[in-house]
Amino acid sequence: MLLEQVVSGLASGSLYGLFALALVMIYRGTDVVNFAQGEMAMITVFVALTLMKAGLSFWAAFGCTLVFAALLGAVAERFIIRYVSQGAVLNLVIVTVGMFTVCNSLAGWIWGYIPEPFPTPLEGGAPLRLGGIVVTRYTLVILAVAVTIMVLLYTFFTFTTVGIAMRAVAQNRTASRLMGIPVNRMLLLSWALSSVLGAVAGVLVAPLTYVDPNAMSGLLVYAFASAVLGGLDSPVGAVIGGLLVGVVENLAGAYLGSELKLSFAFALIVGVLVIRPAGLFGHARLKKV
Amino acid sequence: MGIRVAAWVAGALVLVTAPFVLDPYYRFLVTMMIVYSVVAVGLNLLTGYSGQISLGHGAFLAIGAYTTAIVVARFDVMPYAPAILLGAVVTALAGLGLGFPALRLSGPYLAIVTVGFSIAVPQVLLKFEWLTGGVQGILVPTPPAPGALARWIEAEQWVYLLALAPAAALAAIAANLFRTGAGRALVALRDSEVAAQSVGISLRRYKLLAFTLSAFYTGLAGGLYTLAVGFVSPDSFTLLTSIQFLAMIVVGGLGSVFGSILGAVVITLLPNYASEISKAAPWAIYGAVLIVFMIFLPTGLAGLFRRLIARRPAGARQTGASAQTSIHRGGVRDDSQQPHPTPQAAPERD
Amino acid sequence: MLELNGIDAAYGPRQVLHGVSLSVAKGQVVTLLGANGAGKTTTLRTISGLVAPARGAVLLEGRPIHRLSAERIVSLGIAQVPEGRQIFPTLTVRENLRMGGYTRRGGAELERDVGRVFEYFPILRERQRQLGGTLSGGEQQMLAIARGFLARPKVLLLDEPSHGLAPLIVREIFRIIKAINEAGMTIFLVEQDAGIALSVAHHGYVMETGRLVLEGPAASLRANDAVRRSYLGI
Repeated sequence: MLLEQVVSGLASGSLYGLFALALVMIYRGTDVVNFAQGEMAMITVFVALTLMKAGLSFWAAFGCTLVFAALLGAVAERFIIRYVSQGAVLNLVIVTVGMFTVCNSLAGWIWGYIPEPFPTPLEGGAPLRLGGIVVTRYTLVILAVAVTIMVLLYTFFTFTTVGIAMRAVAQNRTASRLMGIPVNRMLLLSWALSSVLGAVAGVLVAPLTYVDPNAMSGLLVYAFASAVLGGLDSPVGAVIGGLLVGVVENLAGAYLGSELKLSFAFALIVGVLVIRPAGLFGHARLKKV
Repeated sequence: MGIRVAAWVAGALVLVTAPFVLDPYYRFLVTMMIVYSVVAVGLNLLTGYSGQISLGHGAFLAIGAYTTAIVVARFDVMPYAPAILLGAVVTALAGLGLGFPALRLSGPYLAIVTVGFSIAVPQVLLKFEWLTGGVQGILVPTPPAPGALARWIEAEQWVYLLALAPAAALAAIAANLFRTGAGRALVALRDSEVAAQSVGISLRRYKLLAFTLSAFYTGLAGGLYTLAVGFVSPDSFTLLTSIQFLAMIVVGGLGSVFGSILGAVVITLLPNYASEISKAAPWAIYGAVLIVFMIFLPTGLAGLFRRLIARRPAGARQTGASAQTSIHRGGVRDDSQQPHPTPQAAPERD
Repeated sequence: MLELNGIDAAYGPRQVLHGVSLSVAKGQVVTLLGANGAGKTTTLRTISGLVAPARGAVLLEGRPIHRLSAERIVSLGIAQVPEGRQIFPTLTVRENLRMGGYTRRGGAELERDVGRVFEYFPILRERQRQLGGTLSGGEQQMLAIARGFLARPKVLLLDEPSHGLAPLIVREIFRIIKAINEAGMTIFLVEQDAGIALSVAHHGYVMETGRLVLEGPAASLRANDAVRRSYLGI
C-alpha cells in the first residue's frame, strides 16, 4: 500500500519536475522567476488542442505548438519583462504574478472552462508490472522525458558556450556586454527556450489532467513549489524536488485526507526553505554588497 | 493649506452622510470599499513600505473574518466589537507566525510561500467543519443600531458607520507611522537591507513587525467584512482575493496610504463592470493592471496625483526620475514621497 | 589607434563629460588620471558603447565606433576590464575566461591564449575550477584582466585596477600590465592611483569634473607640480 502511494507520488512528481525544468531554464538564463511559466505553458496546450481539432496530426500540432511557444516567450520578454527586469525585484515579481492571472483568464475566455480530453499517441499499451506494482507506460514516458530534459539542460548550461553565456547574462549584464555577449538576444532566447520546455511539459501532462484552465493551475502551483524546493538553478534539483513533492503530497493525501494535501506540501516547502533558502540543490546567491 | 483642510472636511462629511443618501446597492459597495481600504493599507505596510511581497492577504482576511464569525454567530460568545478585535489579534499572531519563515525569504520565494498560505487556509477552514461550518460557512446576523438610534439609523447604515470609524483611525495611524522611527526603519529596510543593517536596524525585528502589523490590519478588516457581508465561507477567500489586494496597492501606489484607499476604491468598482464581459474578466483585469502599472506607472495613481499637484521647482531632488530606472533591492522607489529626514522643498502629505 | 574627439556625455539631464579629446597611440600605455567622480569611468563606458555620447566621436583606427552597439565594439577590438572587477560569481574561473573569449571563434588559438594567460597569472591555473565569487580581490582582478586579454583586443581598457587592493598586489598586477604591454598590447588605463599608473604609462591625461586639464608624457606629468600636489601627495 505504502509503496503504491510512493510510486503514484513519483508519477505525479515527474509531472511537476517537467514544469520545474522550464522554470530552471528561465531562472538560470535570466535571473527571473517566472510565476507565469505554467500558465504560459497552459496556453500552448490549448493551442495544440485547437490545432488538433482543426485536423492536424498530433506531431504536426506539437511542432507548431513549439514554434508558438517560442514566440510567446520571446514576446513576453521583449514587451513586458524587459521593462521591469532591471529595476526592483518586487516590481518584477508583481509583473509575473500579473502575467499569471492574465494567461489564466485569457485561456478561460478564449477556450472556456469545460474540461476537454487531450489525445496523444503516447498513451495506451498494457501497463507494466514492476515488483507487484502497476505502472502505466505513460508514467514511464513522462519520467524518461523529464530525465532527458534534465540531462540536456545540465549539459547545456555547463558545457556549451551559449549556455554559459546565458548564465553570465543572468548574473551581470554589464560585464556580459563588455565581453561582447549580445545580452538582449540571450534574454529573448532564454525566454523562448523556457517557453518551449513548458510547452513540452504541458503537452505531456494534458492527457492526464484534461485541458481546462483550473485543472492545470492546481498542478502548476505544485510544480512551482517543486522547483523552489529543488533549487531554482539546478535541473537536477527540479526533478528531485518534483518527485519529492509528488510523493509527500500523495502520502499526505492518503494519511491526512485529501483536503490537507496542499497545506502539508507547502509546510514541507516552507520548512526546507527556512533551512536552505536556495533550495535543496541550489547555489546560494552571492549577494553583492 | 486652507484648501487642504477644506478638502479633508468635505471628504469626511461626504463619507459620513453617504450611507443615508445612497441606495442600498451602492451603500454596500462603499462599505466594502471601506473594509478593503483597511486591507490595502495593511498590505501596503508590508509590501509597499517594507518591500515584502504577500499573496496571502486573502488568507489573513479569512482568519479575521472567521474568528469574528465563529465567536459571534457560531458559538455566540461575544458581541461584535470585542470579536472584531479578537479577530485582529488572532490574525496578527498568524502574521507573526508567517513572518518567521519570511525572514529568510524574499522576492519570488516569499511570494510562493504566501501563495501556499493563501491556498492552505481555506483548505483548513473547509476541513474543520465543527468549528467553521465547512463548505456551508457561517451566517452572521447584521447588528441593529443600538437603542434609541435604531429609530433613525437602519442596520446597514449603522454597519457602514461602524466600519468607517476604525478604518479612518487605522488609516490615520498608518499615515503617521512613517514619521516615527519605526516607520522609517521599515522603509530603510525596503530600500536596502544591507545598508539598514549596517546602521543597526534589526532586520528581524522590523520584518516581523511589518508582518504582524499588516496582518492585524487585515484581520480587523476581516471582522468588518463579517459585519458588512453577514456571511463567511471558504470560497470567499481565495488566491484571487489576495491578487485583488495586490492589484489595489499597485494601482493606488506602493508605499502610500492615500494610494491604498484609491486603489481599494478602483478595484472594488472594477468587478461590477467587468463581470458583465465575462466570467474570466476580473482575473484578466487584475493581471493587466499589475503589468501595466508596474511598467508605466510604478508609483500608482497616488504617485500620479502627487506629481500633478506638485508643480514646484525641483529643489534638492530629481523629480521625474522614473522609478524603474533605479537599480535597487526592495520595492518601488516612490520618488515623490520620501519619509527620510532630508530637507524637502515642501512637506509631503500622506 | 584610439581617438576621442570632443566627447560630451550625459546621464539624463546631468552632463558628465565636456569636450573630451584624447588619443591612444598604438603599442603605448596611456593613462587617464583623476579623482573620484571626475568622469573617468564614464569615458571608458563611452568608448565601450555602454553610453552614447551626446556630441563628438570615438574612432578606432580612424573608424567611428561611437554609434555601434557594445557587442559590436568588442568584436572590433576594444575590451574593457570594468571597475570593481565584475567577474561572474557563480561561474568558474575557467568559465569566466571562456566568456572573455566569447567573440572569438574558439579552438586552438583560444586555447593557446588561455595558456598565455595562465603564464601571466599562474594562480588562475591553480584555481581554474573554483567559482569566481570565491576568489580574493587580487585574484579577481587578475581574472578580470585575463578575461579582457582573451578577447584579443586591439586596445585593452582598464578601469581602476588598483581599486580596493593591497599595495603589494597592486604592484604585482601592474608588473603584469606592463608585461602585457611590452608584448604588444595597447592599453588605456584609468586610475586614481597616479603614482603606480605613471610608473607604467608612456603618456597621460588628467581629468577634473569631466574636462581634461592636463596632458603630456608620463615623465613630465610626474614632474609637474600640480600633479604632484593633488595626485601624488607630494
